[in-house]
Amino acid sequence: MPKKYTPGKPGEFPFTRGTRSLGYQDPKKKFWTMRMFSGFGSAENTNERFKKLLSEGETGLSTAFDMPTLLGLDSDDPRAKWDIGKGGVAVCTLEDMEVLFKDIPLDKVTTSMTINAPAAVLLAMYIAVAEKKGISKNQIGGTIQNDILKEYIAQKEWIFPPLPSVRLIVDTIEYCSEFVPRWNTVSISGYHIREAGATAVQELAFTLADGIAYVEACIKRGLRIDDFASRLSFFFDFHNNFFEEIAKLRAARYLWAHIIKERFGAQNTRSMMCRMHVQTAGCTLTHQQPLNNIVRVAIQALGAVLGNTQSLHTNSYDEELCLPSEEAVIIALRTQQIIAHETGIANVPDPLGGSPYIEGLTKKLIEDARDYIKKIDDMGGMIKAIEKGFPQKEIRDSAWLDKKFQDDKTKIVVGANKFNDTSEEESCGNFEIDPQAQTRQLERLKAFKARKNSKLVKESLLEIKIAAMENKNLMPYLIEAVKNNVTLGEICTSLKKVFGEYQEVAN
Amino acid sequence: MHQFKKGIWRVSGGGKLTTKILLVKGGLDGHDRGIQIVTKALRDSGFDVIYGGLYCSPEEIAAITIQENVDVVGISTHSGNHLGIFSETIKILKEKTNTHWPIIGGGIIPANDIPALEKMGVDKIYLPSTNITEIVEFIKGLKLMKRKKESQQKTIERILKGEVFAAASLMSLVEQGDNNAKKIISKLPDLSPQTIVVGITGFGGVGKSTLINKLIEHFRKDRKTVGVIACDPVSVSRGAVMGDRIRMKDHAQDEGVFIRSIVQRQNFKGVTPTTPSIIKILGAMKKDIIIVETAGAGQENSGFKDLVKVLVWVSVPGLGDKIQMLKGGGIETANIIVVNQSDKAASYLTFQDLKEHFENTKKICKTNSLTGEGISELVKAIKVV
Repeated sequence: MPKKYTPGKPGEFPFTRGTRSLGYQDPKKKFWTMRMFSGFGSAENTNERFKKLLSEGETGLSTAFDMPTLLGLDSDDPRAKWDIGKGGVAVCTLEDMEVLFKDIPLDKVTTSMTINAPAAVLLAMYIAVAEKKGISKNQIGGTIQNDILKEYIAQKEWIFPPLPSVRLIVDTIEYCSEFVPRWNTVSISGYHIREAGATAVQELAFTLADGIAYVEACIKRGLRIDDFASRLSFFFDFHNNFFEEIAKLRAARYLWAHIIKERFGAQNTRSMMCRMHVQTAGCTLTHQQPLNNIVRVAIQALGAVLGNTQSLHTNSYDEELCLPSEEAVIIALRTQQIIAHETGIANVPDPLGGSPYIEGLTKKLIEDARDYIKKIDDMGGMIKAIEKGFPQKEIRDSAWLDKKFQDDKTKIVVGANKFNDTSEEESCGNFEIDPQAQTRQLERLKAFKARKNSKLVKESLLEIKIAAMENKNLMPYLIEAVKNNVTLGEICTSLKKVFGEYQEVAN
Repeated sequence: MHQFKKGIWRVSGGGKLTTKILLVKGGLDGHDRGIQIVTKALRDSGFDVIYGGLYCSPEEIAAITIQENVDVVGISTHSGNHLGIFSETIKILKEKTNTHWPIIGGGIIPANDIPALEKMGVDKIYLPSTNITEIVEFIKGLKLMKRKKESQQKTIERILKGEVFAAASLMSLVEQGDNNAKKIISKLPDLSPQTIVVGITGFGGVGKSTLINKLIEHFRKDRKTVGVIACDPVSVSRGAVMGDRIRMKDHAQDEGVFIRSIVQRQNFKGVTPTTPSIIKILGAMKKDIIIVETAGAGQENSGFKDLVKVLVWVSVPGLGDKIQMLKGGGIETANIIVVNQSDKAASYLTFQDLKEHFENTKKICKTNSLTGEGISELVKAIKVV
């Protein structure tokens, strides 16, 4: 990596100033994708929310799955009992997936799915649903988060140990490079790392180090860097420190471009682009005086746009208390629309580029993140660092410090530790999930399991197991299995037998 | 150390008491930023924290609460499952102990649900951005559970019947130095000759707890009942975090398994002065196998061997200089030496080194505590000693 920091021009290597020369005025894609993370109850409830958001001007879908789905459990698993449809939507079968995307044109709308440990299975379901609608897999576009390393580091929703998990990720990358060319195979995520308490530089460094680990795993498999790198995408948080956060997004693009070019020898400039989705920071919201959150989200969203994101989720003001109500989510979407259509901020590419403050901050973050990445390299890469508990500990220490500063009021949180004597609490946090959702989901699953061909299911599961043991790419087997009505839980149970299960590490 | 004027198990002649708090993530939820901060803060304030881990079901929470006989249960949840998790946990605890246990909660919880939670018996809900000192002060001021007194004979009968709640309560009294408890212990029957007491020692981080998890699994398949004493060291603040349980979580709900975490405040043969009494209680409950895990290994552990029938010393490949390794931790008193993490390339060398050094004086086993490889051989070796 060069000693001297050169930001370059918008749309040119190293893309510090954005991946497009015309910025948000590119006629091929004006503005950014307004993608609101949604999911709750049964597939019917979420489908309804999707359609509502699209009708209100949302330009891409983003799916939140419930905890059992994230952990590869069917809704009828005893462990799922208290969490069905609570933090997201329950999807266990191809039928659930069909209901979820009913009447949504999958060749026109792109869909992001926040799913990690069982991402390959959900992608298989999505492909199968599209095919049922007569849309071939080379037409669909979207993203699976598929970033397991940050689960061990921060979000803690895993199934298998790191090595087989990364193998599954490489399977999806290999398969999509050939058959699903418009799919973003991994959304390498700093968001959860930051929300768990990391600083900006930790978020930046650990995310890129995760990315390096995935690229290395792909190259080890024999893939060529230019065949897959352009479909890797990123997901960052946008926190409160406005200019530092803008600089972080710029530093991420600069660093990734250099890493892909110099460390991995890519030739194609598209491979070097760090394309990103950004979400405003959930952890900065307060349950006290919740309407203040609208202001926080607006400022963070503005920063994300000034940082040249490709895609944006804006949080709802009631998220510190419950899942977003429809009213709150529409305000969040309107916030993006106001920035796009009313402020003129998107008129020129990277308006802040060249500002000594911004460029200085960018340079500083690049240097600090580089030191962290070097440290992780010296440990033998991110998987080794995770085994040592290194990123986990760094984040925990930052989270502790942040909490300390909030408690002693070194850090002011308006409405929470200062200016908090408003006697009247705003009424919000009233969103209730459809009480029938759980029953509906369980009944559909029961009927689904009753009518399926158990011989075919057994055969599919056996094939998956054999392919897993023989190190074959699992994607074709997974697609075949979901078409044969094998459930998510059945597939994950079979894979657990081959891969084992990851256990929480206490530090 | 915090002392409370009022408290459960505080009987005349009682020693010093540190409030014991169980912290868990309820249901399928991995958001642990808050619980980690609270764990550290409570430890630093001098409390003993049992960290029960992620993804705990109400059944598991209740089982840990009773076995550890904690003073306060803290449940964190961010996934919207709070109404179900809290009500079910309270229901099971009531069914099993006929007692109200102090319960606090935290996470993403709608204000509208708080009255319902309070009504079902939750003492306090903490929302994000709560000042930590508020939580600490609340726990300090919490009226701890009062228990009905019963005759020594009644307690002994219940323990002999294997009642978990009675045994766990007596263990707490023992830990507090209660005189009545000492009398009860002296009246409990001695260990049966068939009971196997296994000590597991070795340096920190070699996988002792994970290995015990696999041993329990093996013994349970063999229809043996198991008691486990897991010992953790105290921190400088005089509080402690006990996290060994999370590696034995597969057995949290198994009625044939009793796991108790203890804090090593004064070193006694590598464990605590109360360990012999706790072993005796587990024996009276007719546990076939009693496993005692030390807080780590060092020269001071040399007396540990007197407490157990079989001493297993756990090591891992590549732990550093061979001679250094052989010097410490009372390896010379062990009956069995385990080379854990047998999947590591260096394990063969370590295994050979140990074999050469000890020739035929000790049994050397190779295990992989994650996959369970080599565990049946280890169990065989334990039975032969």
